Amino acid sequence: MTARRSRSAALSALSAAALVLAALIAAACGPYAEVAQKLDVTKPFADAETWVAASGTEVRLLLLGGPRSGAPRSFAFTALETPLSAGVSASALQGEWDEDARSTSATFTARTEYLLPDERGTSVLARVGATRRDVNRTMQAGFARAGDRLVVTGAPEIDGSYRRLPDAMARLGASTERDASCAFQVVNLAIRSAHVRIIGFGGPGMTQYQNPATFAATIDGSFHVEMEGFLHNRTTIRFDALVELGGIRVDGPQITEADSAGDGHMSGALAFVLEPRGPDGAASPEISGTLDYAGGGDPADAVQIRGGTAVGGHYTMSLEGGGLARVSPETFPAPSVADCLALP
Amino acid sequence: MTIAAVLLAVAALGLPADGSTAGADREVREQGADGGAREQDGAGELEAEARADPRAVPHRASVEPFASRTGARNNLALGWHATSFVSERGSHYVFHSAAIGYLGSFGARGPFVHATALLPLQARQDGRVYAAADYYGRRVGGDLLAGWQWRWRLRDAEVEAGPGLHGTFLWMPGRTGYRDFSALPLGVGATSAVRFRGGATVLSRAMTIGAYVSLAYDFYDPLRADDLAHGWTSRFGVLLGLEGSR
Repeated sequence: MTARRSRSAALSALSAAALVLAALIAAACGPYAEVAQKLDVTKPFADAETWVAASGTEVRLLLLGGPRSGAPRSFAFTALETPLSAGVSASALQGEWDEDARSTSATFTARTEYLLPDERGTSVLARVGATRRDVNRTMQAGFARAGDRLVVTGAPEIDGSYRRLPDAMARLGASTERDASCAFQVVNLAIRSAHVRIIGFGGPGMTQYQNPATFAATIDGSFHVEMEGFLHNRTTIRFDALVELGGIRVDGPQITEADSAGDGHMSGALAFVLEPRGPDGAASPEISGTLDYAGGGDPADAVQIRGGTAVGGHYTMSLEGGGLARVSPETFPAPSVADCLALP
Repeated sequence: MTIAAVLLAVAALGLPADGSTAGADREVREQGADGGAREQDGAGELEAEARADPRAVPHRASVEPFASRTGARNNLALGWHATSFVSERGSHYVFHSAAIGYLGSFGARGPFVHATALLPLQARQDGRVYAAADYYGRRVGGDLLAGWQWRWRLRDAEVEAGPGLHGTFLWMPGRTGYRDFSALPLGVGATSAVRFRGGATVLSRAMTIGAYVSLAYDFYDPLRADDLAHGWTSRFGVLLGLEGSR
């Protein structure tokens, strides 16, 4: 009898272990993490000049830090693939750069690389999400500045015909629907540049932020990432005076509520200020407004998430100058960033 | 491995030099009423004595370990746990942990369960070595090896071994500003344990000491979207138990 009871107890233990295992399988969380990985390694450089270029559906952002005594100059580069207003993938580099005495060539040494792949065809639980790795990659590039233009050649990863972003923003208005649509496309560049640096963003690795974390912005300010709940979770990315790109300041929460399949909706509203600069370098009137993810007073029009991807509803963009636009996350940006900023 | 080998050697040295078996372990043939022979081990002999005169051997049966190869073995295990695996993305991970657990087996041939709690102490990735406490706070883990075992008596010692299914679980939430790590490599493995008398009695039961070792090949991690290419887990350590029936 004792042996029979012992065997029965052993089988019960095995059954319990199988149930625990099944629960864990249901909560699969993407690939292995890096060991002892610091979440944020960004060292802000407040003196950055921000340059923007477009190549097809990709928008490129290059931030160049000024000279510092005894330390190399910093650079940050972000490439945002934007065939849809919500964006689909992104990559970024951080490192050091220098230019020759005549400013005709420059050397960029990437130290950190971020990748946020397009995983719309992958189930949420199998996604990788945003990752970061250390690299040591040197790129020699031709470098030509003229006014608010910068042409980088010879380094395909960062090549482009750039415009200084605050100067390009001087074309933006504040009163029409088109102005509001353009403001959305521009503000979204800053938001997505921050997203790509959130390790695990876009994948199940976001459960990491059950233990909240704060990230420094590239130029100034910060953003805070926090997730509550597990099978039905609420992720809040709160931007605190975020200046990720020169001339764009963002404040407020961006909230996503979704279940473990990545189905749900967004809420929260961001206040933003665009600070254009005129051709003479003088400050132009600011453009301010709100970007509402919750439908702009119509909850049924809140941005809808299916399988971890924004597929419905609208981003509601309101400008203080009267411009109002409802931007669909799943359609081609119209107008595009290149059109809005008159990029070459 | 070294500790286990030493313990096995000590166990071997503790065996009688002439190779004879201990009384409690001796198996005798007893003629049955039907004229056939049946095997009865030392426990049966002791029980027969006790039935004849219960006062004659009041405690002998209670302190004899391995009087029978049958019955349950419940042991506390202390040891080391190392799991090493390669991800599909090409990274090589190694985790070393202190381990405390329960080793149970049931019957001369029967199921066994090794359930171990882990305290990860060191983590490695691609040659970089980290003290786990520096980067992870409430880090814990578990290891389960469950399967089927066979027992043998080797002079005064009892040896068991068998194959089973294996899983290791590591849950290491990062300290503030650091990334979490978790893993659940699953696979197949095998274990072996040796027990022998410690000489002491506790609660009228003989204390046994011994050693265990196990090795598992891991090939599937459902928690990590099957990012596991392959891995190995090894465990070894000492075990303590109380044997004999009261």
